[in-house]
Amino acid sequence: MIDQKISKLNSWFEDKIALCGQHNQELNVDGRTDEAIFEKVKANIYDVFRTVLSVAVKTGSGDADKVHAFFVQRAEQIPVGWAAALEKAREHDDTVRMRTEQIKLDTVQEIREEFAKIWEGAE
Amino acid sequence: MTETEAIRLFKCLSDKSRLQILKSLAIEDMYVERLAERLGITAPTVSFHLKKLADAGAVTSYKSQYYTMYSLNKDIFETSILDIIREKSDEADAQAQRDAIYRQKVIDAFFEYGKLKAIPAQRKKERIILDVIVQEFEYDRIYSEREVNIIIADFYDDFCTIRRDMIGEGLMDRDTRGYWRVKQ
Repeated sequence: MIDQKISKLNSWFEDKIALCGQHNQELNVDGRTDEAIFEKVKANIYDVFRTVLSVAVKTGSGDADKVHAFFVQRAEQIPVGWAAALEKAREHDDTVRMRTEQIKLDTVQEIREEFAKIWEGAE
Repeated sequence: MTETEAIRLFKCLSDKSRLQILKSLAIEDMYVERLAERLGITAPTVSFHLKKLADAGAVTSYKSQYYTMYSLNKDIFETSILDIIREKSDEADAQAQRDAIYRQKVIDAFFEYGKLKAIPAQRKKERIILDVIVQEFEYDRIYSEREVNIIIADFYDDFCTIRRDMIGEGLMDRDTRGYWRVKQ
């Protein structure tokens, strides 16, 4: 059961990373270079959490609850700095930085929801 | 517009979404959500692009009721690219300094005790040594060929070549009255 969930999550991450790569290429070809960079930022976040998942699996040693706790805890902890950076950017009206930090936070929110959907069987 | 400002503007314009925003604003002033709807991109992405455009001086904003309206800064787009190129470069002083160092290096290499050792094969270098020799001629004075030859001979024995090359380079000119130094 746990293997199925892990495999499903890994596939989801891979699909998302591939899609971002495809969007990145399309946007670059279309001359929308900044938006292409946003896709790269998103891909990096998916990649970070794919790694977090593999570490969670290793640390959990087959215990689904441990894997879940590890992943959820990291998914809360890692974006703390991004939220702070977003707040700081907001204070300085730095729209450019705000956009990047918001994309990171939106992506991690999407990851949390997908994780819950697959892991907790909310699907 | 300074060189730095021009670079920032050109960098900013090299993005299709930003160009599309400018095209929309060329029609009428718009707010973020309206631009997002028109261009099919999210409002935060439009805000991101508008911020970059505002930083580059391409757009300005003003408050209108509940909205922040954005408008094209037409003044900046009325500046021609030629005007930007002609603007004195921040690099100009550094370039002038490098040119002066190079010039002195050529002079040191080809002159010894005020005498020209050889005519440089490279045109750029020859131009430098001709510039040095032509300093011996006064402006607004007609010289006979003999006078020209004597002045050049103080630098180099083959005065015919130097005299001919100075005319070729536009440093001196001549007619039936004689030779004179051309004002640069």
